[in-house]
Amino acid sequence: MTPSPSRMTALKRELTAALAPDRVLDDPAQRHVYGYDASVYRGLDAAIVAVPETTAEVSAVVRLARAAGVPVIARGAGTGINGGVLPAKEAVVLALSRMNQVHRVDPANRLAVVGPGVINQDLKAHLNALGFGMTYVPDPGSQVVSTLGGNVGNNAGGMHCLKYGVTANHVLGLEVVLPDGSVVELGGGPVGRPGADLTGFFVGSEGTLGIMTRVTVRILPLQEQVVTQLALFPSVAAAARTVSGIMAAGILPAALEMLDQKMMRLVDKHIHVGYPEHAGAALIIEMDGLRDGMDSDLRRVREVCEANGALSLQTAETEAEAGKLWLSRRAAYPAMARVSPTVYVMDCTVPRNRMAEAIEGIIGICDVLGLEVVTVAHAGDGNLHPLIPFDQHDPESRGKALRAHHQIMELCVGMGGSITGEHGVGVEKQEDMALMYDDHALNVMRLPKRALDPDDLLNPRKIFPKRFFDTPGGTL
Amino acid sequence: MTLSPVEHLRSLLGTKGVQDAPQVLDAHALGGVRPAVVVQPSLPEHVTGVLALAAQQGWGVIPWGGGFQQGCGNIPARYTVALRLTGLASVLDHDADNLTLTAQAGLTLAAANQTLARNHQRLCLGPPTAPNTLGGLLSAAPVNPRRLVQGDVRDQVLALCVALPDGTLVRYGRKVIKNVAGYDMNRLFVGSRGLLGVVVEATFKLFALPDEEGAILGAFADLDAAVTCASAFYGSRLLPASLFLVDSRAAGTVYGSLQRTVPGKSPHAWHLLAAFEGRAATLRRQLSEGEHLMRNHGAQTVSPGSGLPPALGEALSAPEGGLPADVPYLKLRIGLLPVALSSVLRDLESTPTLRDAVRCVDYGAGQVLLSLPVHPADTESLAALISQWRKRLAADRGFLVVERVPDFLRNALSAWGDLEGEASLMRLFKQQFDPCQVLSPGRYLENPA
Repeated sequence: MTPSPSRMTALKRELTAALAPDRVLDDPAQRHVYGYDASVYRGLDAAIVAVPETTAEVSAVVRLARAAGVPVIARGAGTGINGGVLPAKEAVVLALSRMNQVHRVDPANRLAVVGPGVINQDLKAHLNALGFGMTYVPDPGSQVVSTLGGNVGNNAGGMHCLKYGVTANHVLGLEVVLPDGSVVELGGGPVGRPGADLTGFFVGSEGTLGIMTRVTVRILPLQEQVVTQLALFPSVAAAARTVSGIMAAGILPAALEMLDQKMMRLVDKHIHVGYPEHAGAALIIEMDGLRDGMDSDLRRVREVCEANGALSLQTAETEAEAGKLWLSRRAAYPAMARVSPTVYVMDCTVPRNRMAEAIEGIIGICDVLGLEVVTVAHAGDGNLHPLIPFDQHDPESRGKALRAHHQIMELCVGMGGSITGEHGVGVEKQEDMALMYDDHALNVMRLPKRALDPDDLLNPRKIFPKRFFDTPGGTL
Repeated sequence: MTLSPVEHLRSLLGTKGVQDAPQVLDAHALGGVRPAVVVQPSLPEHVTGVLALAAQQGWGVIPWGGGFQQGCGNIPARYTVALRLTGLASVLDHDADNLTLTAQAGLTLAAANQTLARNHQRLCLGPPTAPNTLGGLLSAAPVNPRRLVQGDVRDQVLALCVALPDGTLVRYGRKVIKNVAGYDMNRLFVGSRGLLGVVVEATFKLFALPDEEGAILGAFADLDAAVTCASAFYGSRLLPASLFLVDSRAAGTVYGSLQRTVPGKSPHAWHLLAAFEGRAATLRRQLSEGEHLMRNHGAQTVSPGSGLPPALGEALSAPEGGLPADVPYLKLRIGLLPVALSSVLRDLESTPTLRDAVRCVDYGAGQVLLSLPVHPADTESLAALISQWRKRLAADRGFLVVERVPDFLRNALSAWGDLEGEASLMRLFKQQFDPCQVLSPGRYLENPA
């Protein structure tokens, strides 16, 4: 039920008293902005935008909104591509950007405690400036703007997940405001806490179970040596075989990133890398660890590349050269901007040894629909990002892109993969959840939500297929 | 006519795999309470059948693997069925290309690793030759002794098939590294001691076997010197797979497994074990620098070893590690941040009740394992001591878990203690998943003391 205008006015008054007048926004233009994120979707305008600075303020907003029966949606930088922070109902949007303090850095215990509004890259810069030789590893593509709160909410990945894992593997503890406004601390100290891993469970819950107000992250020593290589192959299949071959040789690179031929050409136009015309795929390989033993790993990598018909293998000799090699991967999204004003960035996974087959299948789906597609991949994880240029304002083009997305998800799940690798579900994939799980598994997955938030007031109508929310009682 | 649990279960599963012989029931007793029946299903559907029947009949069911983790927990509030998973012990799929293994819960880690070794791969949930079942390891989620390079049990689980207390089966995750869509349900099932569901099948991420393994063991005059050296390792660029400290009582087992005798006889001595693995050149460098590091921090002797000693597990779990045989003992696990180790260990050392404890520390994980002989007369003082320690540790988010407890102490010492908000959340979830309290009723979330 939509709260009455008078209830909303009263709530705004209460929120203003609890926070401060300049931290409760209700100007239509300001509220309108919060109906967007980086996805191809569009939400309702925020009913009210609240900008808390402390856990107590977050708790107060949640309590007041709950008393008024108004949903609350926590939001970081809005760089998510699944529509997860878009209001699906009239809601208070909690902009957590001012909770951006690094509360504590504790190198001896290898941890840091940060606010949810801290930008990923800023935390790395902060750690770097302290000079302990330690860093926070997860590096989603959006790291220059995305916040830790958003990264945690979506269990973000990045280029170095192959060796170091996704965000969940780097979160040691959370302070969470629950849907009733109470505050709970999960983990936060040593590992091995008895019972279920509630910290890990809340990571990736997309703000539907609680609002994270403090995050304890693992920080790790910088590696003694990092070697970056670029290998070119005649085809995606050859590059994909190389990925499996490297892993089978007992080597665990820090990163294994792949670009298909179309992507390489676009990147070349954008930053003039000078890729040869006949190269069908590029693989960026990053190895890290101690200097001793690195040579033997690099030798093995070269052997695997050559055995799979590599056209070339270039090794960066300096940090600047390494940066240049990485640029060809990091320039992928900017390069797409030259092609189309709107690009649908998709996210799915398949078993590593089925990547080439999956990419073929994706091209086939797009051909039938008359769409272009280029693919970049966190190849070591089997995590594909098909990028489809389309016109957001042309219903036909948009419809085709959405159809392609669904068919690509079907393809990946059919190959034993997942509908999301590192970007979450949000609204984009809520119907695709049925590809992964039957109604019973989804009902069981909803049990914790029903226990904590029976009225679906925290980030409502997300993650699960809409029919669950439209059914009285919420169980199918 | 009312059927007994044995009759009910025999009509469901047949006579094979349903046992009620007194010696079998005795072997599955917990805290002096025997189950009415022990069942060992050979199909996942049998597990769900047993649970559905239990929910209908109001029975309490306690899942069993190899039984290694049953030494802790309160006396069950209800205990009708001991559900042994050891009949489900097959490898279902070893995908060597993608480095994944799918296996049933009753398979032992040792058996899994035997299969995997043919492809030069391994599963790292604990000591590789551990006789524990995969289900038991998933249920207890012990800290992996090689966690510094391989992470913990939870980090290696890709997918689970779980029998729920209502007798239905659910599957979450996929055979891919990034496998989560929606809530990461596997995080709830792993480590929750079967309170929410019984894992019948799991898919794990695998690692290649290292080319070589090696270790060094340094003997230090006292605790402070050993801890300072461990901290230097932790802060260096060396990449030990394991970093353990053991006291003089546990040292015999560790040195013995390296076919060496403990250097010196000082009861105050502490020993630091640093284990490494990887390429030959990486290993050589680490062993050499590690030895320098130990000597620079005052190690009196540095002994080489071939890797993480298989007997380390025994050193951690008395009585094999130095306690007198046939004496009831208590095993405690304290979790704390590494920088707090020194002061906590010192205070433990000066606590009279813990004077005879055998101590072993996983420095990288911040875990202190204490094994100590106990007597019924100690009950009150131990309960008070543990409660006091829990309060102290909680201030820095530390904890104390009772890992193994003699029956006479079971309900005097709660297994997990008060985990503040986390325990409330676990209870809330337990109520949702298991409203009839079928699985392990009263064993972990309640505080009978």
